[in-house]
Amino acid sequence: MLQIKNLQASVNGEPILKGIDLEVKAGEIHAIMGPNGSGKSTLASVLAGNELYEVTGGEVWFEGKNLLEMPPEIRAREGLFMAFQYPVEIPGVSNINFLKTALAEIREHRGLPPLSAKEFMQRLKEKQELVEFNASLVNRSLNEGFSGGEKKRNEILQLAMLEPKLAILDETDSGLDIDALRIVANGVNKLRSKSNAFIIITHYQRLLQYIIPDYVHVLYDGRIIKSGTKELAYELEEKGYDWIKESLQASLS
Amino acid sequence: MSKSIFNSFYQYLIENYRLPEENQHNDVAWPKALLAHKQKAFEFFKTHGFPSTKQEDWKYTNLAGPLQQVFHIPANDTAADLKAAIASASIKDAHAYHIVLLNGKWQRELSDPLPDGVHFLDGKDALHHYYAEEYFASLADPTGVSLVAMNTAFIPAFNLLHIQKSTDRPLHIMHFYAVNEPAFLPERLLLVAEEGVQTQWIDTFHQLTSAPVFINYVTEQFLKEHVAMDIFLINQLQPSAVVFHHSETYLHSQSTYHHLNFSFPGAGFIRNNINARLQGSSSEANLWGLYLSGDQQLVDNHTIVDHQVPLCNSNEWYKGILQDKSTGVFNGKIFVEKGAQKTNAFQKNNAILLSREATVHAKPQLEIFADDVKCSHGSTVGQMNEDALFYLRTRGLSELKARQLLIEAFAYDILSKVQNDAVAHHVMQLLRQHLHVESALPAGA
Repeated sequence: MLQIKNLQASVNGEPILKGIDLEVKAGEIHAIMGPNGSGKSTLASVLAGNELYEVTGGEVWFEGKNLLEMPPEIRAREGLFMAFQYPVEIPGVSNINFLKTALAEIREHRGLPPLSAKEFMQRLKEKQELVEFNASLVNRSLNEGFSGGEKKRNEILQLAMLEPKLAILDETDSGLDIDALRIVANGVNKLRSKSNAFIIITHYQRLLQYIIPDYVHVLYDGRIIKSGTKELAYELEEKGYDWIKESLQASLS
Repeated sequence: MSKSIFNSFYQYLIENYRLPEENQHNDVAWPKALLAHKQKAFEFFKTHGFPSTKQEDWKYTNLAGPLQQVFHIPANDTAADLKAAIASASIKDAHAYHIVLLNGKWQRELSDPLPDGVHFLDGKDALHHYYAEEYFASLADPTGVSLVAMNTAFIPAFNLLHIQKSTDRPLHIMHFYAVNEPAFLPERLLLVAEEGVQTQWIDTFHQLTSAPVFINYVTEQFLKEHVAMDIFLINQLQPSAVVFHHSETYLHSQSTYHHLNFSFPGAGFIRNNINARLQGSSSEANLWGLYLSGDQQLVDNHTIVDHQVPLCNSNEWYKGILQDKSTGVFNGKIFVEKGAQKTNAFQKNNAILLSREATVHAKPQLEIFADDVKCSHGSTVGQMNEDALFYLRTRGLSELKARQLLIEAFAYDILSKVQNDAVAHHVMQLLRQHLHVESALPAGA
């Protein structure tokens, strides 16, 4: 589904990603962990198409297409979704109209007819229940005045509505209490299937107790320095990131 | 540089000034008391001329350019087919009572019959109405604005709207303008709403010809006790229009006033003075404004909220969306006079620049002489929120669609104040029609 080859990117001329290689297949969940400043969120932003980040080298292929050549909206319509670490508040844009517009654009791109008002409402109701999202929030302005947890759940609601092939969750667990964390994780678990894939970016291992990843990668200084299975996450939690840094330095010297 | 402009248009006006009784073309006889206002106003205008940018209230609004040509006082009426124009100017689903004006003159036969208790008067009916002597020129003229004096001096007559009973549907005054050569069109309305009246008034402006016009439109509104009035001012004029509008409102106790001011590209030059005087306790003035500017347009909104007595509230929010090489000017004065305790006065203005060549000058001006008051103001100027734009695009919305949505969201704060769905819808349509998001894209995108 996704092939990242030697991806390099910089912000304001400063290199952040220094050669990322990663392959994600349908049905898989990959966790990307790493200390602050290692480039995790940069990777998510580059994949989503944020123009503040300059890609300086490498390739990214999504379902056989060159992802880096696509503007953000085409990536979304092709089936890529990023749940933001800090979802933007947009006063005056109603949550529900926004979802309707987004879904219509994505369905049109995929050659699907638009949903009728009734079908849309039915689907919305179904997905709202999935993330235990308060119906009154749907009628409000997009994320305006939402609590941190409500914003994150709104991201997962959008994910559920838009049915992407690949979803990137950028620190979705940050700022969540344990109940919200469980709701978000349950939502993701119900949405995962053989035909979709997830990349979960997180600093902590706790989300991975609820969403069991197939692979865990450690990002450090713009590179994936270690990959493994879910046990790697437990090991990291136990030993901390210093353990990885030390073992990296040991292997270099 | 002088504080005034005395140009060839000024010379023309001074040389061609006739008091109505001497004017062969005008058979409307003004009562003596009102003529005195005209005489005085003419002397004031003669002395002060047009304001130059040396005057603080005209610092960013240079009349020298727009008034460099001579706008003639039209000798004859220009014929115009108004039937089609009325149809296209009417607001769908507003079900309004249409009051049709051509170059400021009431077209009675083309206007709707008005409901019981609503009277629109012109000519000698207005001049000799019992309110004319009491109210005419009593509110606008004392402000010492020379363009108001110009209006008082040069109007051939004025219109009077007397509302004695609440209306079930809005009143819609359609101002049509048709001229064959550059014309100076002074226009005046005196409005009196009697105690307890609830009404909505839509005021729209339309040019039927392309020759330049200088429209000088002054209104004086008297809202008596317990009146609730909404005014929707919608300016849809063409680039050849130079517009000066001065609206002066007196609020008696317990009255509530919503003034909504919308303009679009557009009249080349728009200067609005929107003033509300809270003269009766527990009255409330709300000034809401939204302008979308384009091309080389200049849109200047100067407002005054004048708290003269205790226990009054005022809210003001002006928002501007500036395109192309347009310029926006906002000046919001709040006066809280000595003794006007327990005043609540809030003001906000925000502008969004969609083009690097657009300019905005914003100035809140609070002068507070009472100590037990709550007042605040806030002013922002910015570009489109790039984070919000990116967020919407990552959900599949095209950049164009996302920009459009964000601009509509910006406008929504003001549109949501319109307590009339048909008018709100109409204004949103005008916004969509005049907004060209393509040009807002960064170069090369």
